[in-house]
Amino acid sequence: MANNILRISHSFYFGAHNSADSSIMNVFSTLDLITAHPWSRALFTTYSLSLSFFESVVLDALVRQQVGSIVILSDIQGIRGALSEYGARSAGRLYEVEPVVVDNGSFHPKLVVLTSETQAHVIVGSGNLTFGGWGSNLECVDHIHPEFAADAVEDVAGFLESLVRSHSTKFAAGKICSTVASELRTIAARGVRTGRVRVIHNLNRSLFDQVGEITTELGGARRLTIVSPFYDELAANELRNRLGLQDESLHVHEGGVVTGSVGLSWPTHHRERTVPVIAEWCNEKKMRPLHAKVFEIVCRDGRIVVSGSANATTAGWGLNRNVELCVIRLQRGNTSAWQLSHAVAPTPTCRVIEDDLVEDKIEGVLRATLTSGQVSGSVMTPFPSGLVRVSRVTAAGEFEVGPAEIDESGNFEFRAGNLETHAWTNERLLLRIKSNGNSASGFVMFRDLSDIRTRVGAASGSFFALIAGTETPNDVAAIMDWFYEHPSDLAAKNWSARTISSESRASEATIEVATLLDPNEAEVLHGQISRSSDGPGWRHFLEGILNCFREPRGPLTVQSKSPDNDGQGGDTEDELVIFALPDEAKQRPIKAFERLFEMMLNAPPTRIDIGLALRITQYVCDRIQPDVFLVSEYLDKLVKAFIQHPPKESDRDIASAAVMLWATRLNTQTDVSRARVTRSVLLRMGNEVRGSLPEINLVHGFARLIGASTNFGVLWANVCQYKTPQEEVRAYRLDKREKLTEADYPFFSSIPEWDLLKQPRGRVIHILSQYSDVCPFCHNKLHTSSASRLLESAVTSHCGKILLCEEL
Amino acid sequence: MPSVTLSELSNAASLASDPARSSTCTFKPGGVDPLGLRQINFDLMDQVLPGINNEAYHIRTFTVVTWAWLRAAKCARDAGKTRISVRELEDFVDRIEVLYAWSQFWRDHDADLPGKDVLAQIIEDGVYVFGGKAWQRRQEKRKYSTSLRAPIYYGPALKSLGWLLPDSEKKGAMIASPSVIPALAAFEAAMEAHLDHPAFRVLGEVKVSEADVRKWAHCWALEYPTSAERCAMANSFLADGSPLQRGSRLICDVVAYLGSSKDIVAVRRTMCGAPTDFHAAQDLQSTLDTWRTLQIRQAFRLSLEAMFHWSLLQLDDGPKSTRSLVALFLQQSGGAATIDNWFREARNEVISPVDWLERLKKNLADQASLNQLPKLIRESLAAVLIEAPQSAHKERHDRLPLARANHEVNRYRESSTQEFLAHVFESWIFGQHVYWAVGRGLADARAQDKKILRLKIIYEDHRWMLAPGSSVSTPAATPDRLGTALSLLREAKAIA
Repeated sequence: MANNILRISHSFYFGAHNSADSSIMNVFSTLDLITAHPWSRALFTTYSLSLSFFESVVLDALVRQQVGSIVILSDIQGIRGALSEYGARSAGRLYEVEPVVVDNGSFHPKLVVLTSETQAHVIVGSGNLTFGGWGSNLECVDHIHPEFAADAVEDVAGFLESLVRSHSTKFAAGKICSTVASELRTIAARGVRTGRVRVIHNLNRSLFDQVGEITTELGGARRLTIVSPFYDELAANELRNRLGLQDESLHVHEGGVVTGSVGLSWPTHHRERTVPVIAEWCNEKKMRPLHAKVFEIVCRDGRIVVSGSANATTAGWGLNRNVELCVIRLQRGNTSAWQLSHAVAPTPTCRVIEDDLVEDKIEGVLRATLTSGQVSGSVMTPFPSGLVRVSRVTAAGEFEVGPAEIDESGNFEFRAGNLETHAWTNERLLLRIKSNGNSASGFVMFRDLSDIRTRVGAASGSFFALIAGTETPNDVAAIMDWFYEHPSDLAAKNWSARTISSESRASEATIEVATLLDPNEAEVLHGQISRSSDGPGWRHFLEGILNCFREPRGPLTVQSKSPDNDGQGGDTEDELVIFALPDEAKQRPIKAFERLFEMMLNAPPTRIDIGLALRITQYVCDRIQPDVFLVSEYLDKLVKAFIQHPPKESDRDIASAAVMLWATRLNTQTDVSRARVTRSVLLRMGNEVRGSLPEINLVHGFARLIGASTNFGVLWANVCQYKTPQEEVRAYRLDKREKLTEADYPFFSSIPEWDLLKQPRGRVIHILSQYSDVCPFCHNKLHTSSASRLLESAVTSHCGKILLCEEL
Repeated sequence: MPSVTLSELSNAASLASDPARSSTCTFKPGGVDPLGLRQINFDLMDQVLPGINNEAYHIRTFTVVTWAWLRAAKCARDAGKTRISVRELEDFVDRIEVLYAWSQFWRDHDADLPGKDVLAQIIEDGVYVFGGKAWQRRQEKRKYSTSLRAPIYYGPALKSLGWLLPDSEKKGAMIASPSVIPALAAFEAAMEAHLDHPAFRVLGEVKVSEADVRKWAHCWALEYPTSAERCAMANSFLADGSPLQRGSRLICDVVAYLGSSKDIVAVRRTMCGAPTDFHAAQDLQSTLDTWRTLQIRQAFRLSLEAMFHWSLLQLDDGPKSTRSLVALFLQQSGGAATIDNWFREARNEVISPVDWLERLKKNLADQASLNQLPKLIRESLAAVLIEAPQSAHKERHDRLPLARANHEVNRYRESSTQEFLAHVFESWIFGQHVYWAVGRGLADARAQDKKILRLKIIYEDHRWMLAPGSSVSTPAATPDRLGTALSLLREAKAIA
């Protein structure tokens, strides 16, 4: 009997395939699909997870397509691996990672769903979100869309809905799964149903049952060929029994199989029931390790191909074990089966656990969200309830956050406090909780970022890059353009008042009295607070942006190929060189900045914030490095603006530093006159001219470009020492002495009028409290040179009198 | 444009009778500065030797480019033009640059100028027409590569050293600075006999032959600047107000102390002070300190990049867990009970940070001694960490400032070497690498720029492995501009 069956089987193995059918040789790249359309949402499911792979390859492609919502559902094993990757920075920020716990098994489906307003495409395969799964291994991939398999797309929607309802899985991404399911159903409703391709899962019924039924529908099985890296004999027996077959053909892969933690690569018992073959489907020029799972069942009335995540194991095909997702293709009538060729059975191997991977204790997995200053989460793996210590895990180490209480269901909640500040930096948030020798860790999804993305739109990538410190000149331009288009977000109330809290201790924070007395101001403030998107998230986002403008980051650079290849050749490490931004690359950000700069300097009084303008200017100078003459021009305008709109208390130090730097560009004849002009400006701004030298580092962005050789200590000493002419006028007015000395009036004593001034005062000297270019005696307009002298040197002569002016 | 359209992919999917096989991903590998540590070094270089790079070696090149702008303006004036496009001016300057390089390569096949390879055809043909589409293509190509005023050559220094100033209308033209006019006059006097040639006299298309170029070659020879040019360059470095003044003075003092500038390593070492006997003038002490900090940072960076390099070589044999890498590293570097001891026992020698840098370079260059690399890394880290500042000041946390590194060492002081080295591998080496490789890639993605896979290692199934297509190239210290400064100061006769 056995011989007879083998003979029949052989005729299938070597004779039935029509080799002209090239479609079985298709190769597919999910990256191609991602880059082929402007998708708005992407959902991935995986068992293993390499975030370094995901961020450098998949996220890269998604960012290029400006995909707004990106979610990964991963088995906790995948999460555990990903937690060790300190360098992967965007989890919880640019995309969400949600752990899935499955009772008695693993979360094993490998699904990609890409949707937009008009399209819904689905990939079901065997490849995890790893380099191996996306290219290094041989994987199977089924690309499905409603134009030919709307019913299969609806099956995927059904899978996601079942996942949400399932009692054997624990995860917190129910809402996103339901949303994606709904989108799939909406678009599938307009599609074509052929019944040729369906998607099956084992959340409700085993794959054994479902595939068995379909086989019966096609008149019963005549041959089973299995391509799978893992295998268990229980599953093989069950499958043979369900299909009514005495044996199965098992593909022997020349490229070997991937290592794994379950199953064998070949049966150890009843080996006579397994025929070693090489399946044509697996042929490729350069053999890769096998990770694909494909089952071909040739039936009396057709052919079935099952492909996807399920290995030839009981965990894969049974019920209440792994969660699996497969595509089942049904071909009725005469169809072409795979061509099989003889192979030699390999020696069965199973994964050897190396000593170095044995961990003392397996870490639990948690997940959390940070929204509006509140952290909420749950421990996904068993964890005792009670008080825990929470810490933040970073590449630099672990930092205590505080205590939290875990309830009976593993849930916890606490105020984020400083944690939120870190969330706005460029690091991912990773929490660890510890209690009595137990620990669990996991990612924090920063939900406020979603609101920011919605509000900022296409510029969000540029803003996040700014926060991460990886901005490009185009990002700088995009940010400047965005603020230009949204001037209300630059209003002093939106920034400075808020940032004071982060700049100084709460007890030192001050508020301008004028703002408390101006009802219009209150209205503006009220109006802003009432907008939902101006909540703490937005406020902290703006604080984060302002912190970036404060940070010394240094000039942006570009990479280029080495000089002598003249633009030819590859970007290998040896050929790349770094150089300063070329002028062309500076043009766009400078133009965008200058537009914003002018707007900020000319803003209405209620919105003007020269301190902020100074910080933004400094940031642009630091990063983009405009020509020195432009930098001087900006500084000049800022100093003049500060004279018109004296700096707020929190801006005084930086304003003083800016004036010191500005002074280095003054075209004065002597150091003393430079010092006097500088002092005058500082006094007009209401700043102090005593004490220690203003911290020039506060204006590092400008200082990098100008004033490098100045001895600021000497300049400041002069500024402190030499009073302005106007100050001498004031002293002169108050001086009741008969005889004045040169030492008390160093400026006056240097001008021609000194001989008259030092005499006891008479009618010839008149002191103006405010500057005017009209003579108070003859009421004629002063000559331009006289007016100018009065303004700058506080003294002039007119109609036989000496006019002094004490207004700075 | 995507390589495959959605419609093509959809059609293929609807026709398929079987699942597809996953395609092999092919990535263009690349990337420099794998751990993202370089910017802090650049910032330190900017404090001592700002405005110059590692390529602008010769005074005469400064003169030629500056003179070309001035000459272009004179040609426009002589042609009766009251306004001229920047494009026309650039065309003239480009021509002068190419003629200059051509003539110098004719004199000396190994002349220290860019573009030897790309000029080969012109040199071989012996004649060239500076006009038409071929010339335009050449101009376009050389703009960011072999042009003398390209950002990687003399472009930045021409401006930062004050030889060229932007035009007042900000249109992109450059004007020769008044401070270098005497230098240009002296240069033009030497060239006077040839200035009647259309190449120097007219804007627009001109034809030049090798016979012409030969005549000029010696008159504007690269290595013979006039005394006026030397004086202009000396002023650029040493005059009051020059941002380079303090750094240059320190160099001059060190060269005077050594008696020669020939041994660049000796100059670099002495500029760091101890353990040499050199003491800087009081007002240059902070410059010396900054230079020393730079060299310490250079040694720190090369140590960590060497560790990354060593890891890649280990992973070339197959994936490994952090624990395996730590065990291998300790096997080669030697162990100790605590990390405190591990470093202390490695501090046997007091040598300059520059010498640690040299030892690392030498070891990395010699494949045969790579198994001694872990021991050397241990020693050099021990030496540089002891000089770590208390605070990172303005240095970015994610650039791994030395202060942060030292702070982390202190936290692990009583821990086992295994625990500390696991942290170093996962955070300082692999963490830094992934962070910057991914971050730069995403920056390119946002700008819809080139796609390069900078990632050299990946973490999958709890093991580190080489990323597909990644190459293992030897790390090198970023040049610190000292070579350029020495060359220009030597040519200016400011140092011996």
